[in-house]
Amino acid sequence: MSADTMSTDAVHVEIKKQTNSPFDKELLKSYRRLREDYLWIFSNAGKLRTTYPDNYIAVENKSVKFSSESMELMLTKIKESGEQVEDFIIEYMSTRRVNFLF
Amino acid sequence: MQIVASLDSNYHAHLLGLINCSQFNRAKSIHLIIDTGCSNTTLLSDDVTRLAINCSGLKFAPIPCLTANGTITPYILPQVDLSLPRRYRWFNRKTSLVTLQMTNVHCMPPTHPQFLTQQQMLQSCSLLGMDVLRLFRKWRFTKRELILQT
Repeated sequence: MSADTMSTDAVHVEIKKQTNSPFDKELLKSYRRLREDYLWIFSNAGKLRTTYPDNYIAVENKSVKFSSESMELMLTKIKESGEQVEDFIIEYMSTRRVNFLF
Repeated sequence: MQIVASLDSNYHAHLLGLINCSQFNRAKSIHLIIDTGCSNTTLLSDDVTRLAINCSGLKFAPIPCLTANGTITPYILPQVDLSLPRRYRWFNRKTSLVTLQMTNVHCMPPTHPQFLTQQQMLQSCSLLGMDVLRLFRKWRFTKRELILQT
């Protein structure tokens, strides 16, 4: 395992590349599945904004399983259905064009 | 190490990663925006809610943060593993994960329906700050991607 380090005054960051361990393989598998849904949302954003205007959507396997006006309600819906929040990509479908100022 | 972020129509660079810490029993997805104006990687309110981070036992950051909404003192989430996609080999077409083991990231207070602001309603992402971005010395924009290289 190769590791590099970098630190600021407050935060120390150590870089670890992926290994062939079962944990790392499972992590990558999980990532790839989530990324498929993430990319699906981005490529269908226009349509999703029309269907779910100003709502949160929870996507799994390239389909919208839940939608809600608030994050709290969304989490409640997912938990009540017996599903796990971690299995979904949740995004907010804003209908307004916004500029960010964080 | 090369990390590739997708650009949106405003040329903001977005990245999907996984985050893990002692409060979780497995890694969870996180949608990050690359933000050079952000000193520390910061989980925004909606993400703190979505990730079910319990802030009640967390310490506050020693230094307040200046935000567009004024000054705020974020929580400190300790010992965080942030896994980001890394491209390699075959003309950088293959993807694996690289894990950044961070001593801490900042957390904004979780969303509370009574205190929702317009700004919060538009966020379902978090910020990848300079504590991580300073690792990357080469930055290159293409039409659709921001390519960061150490």
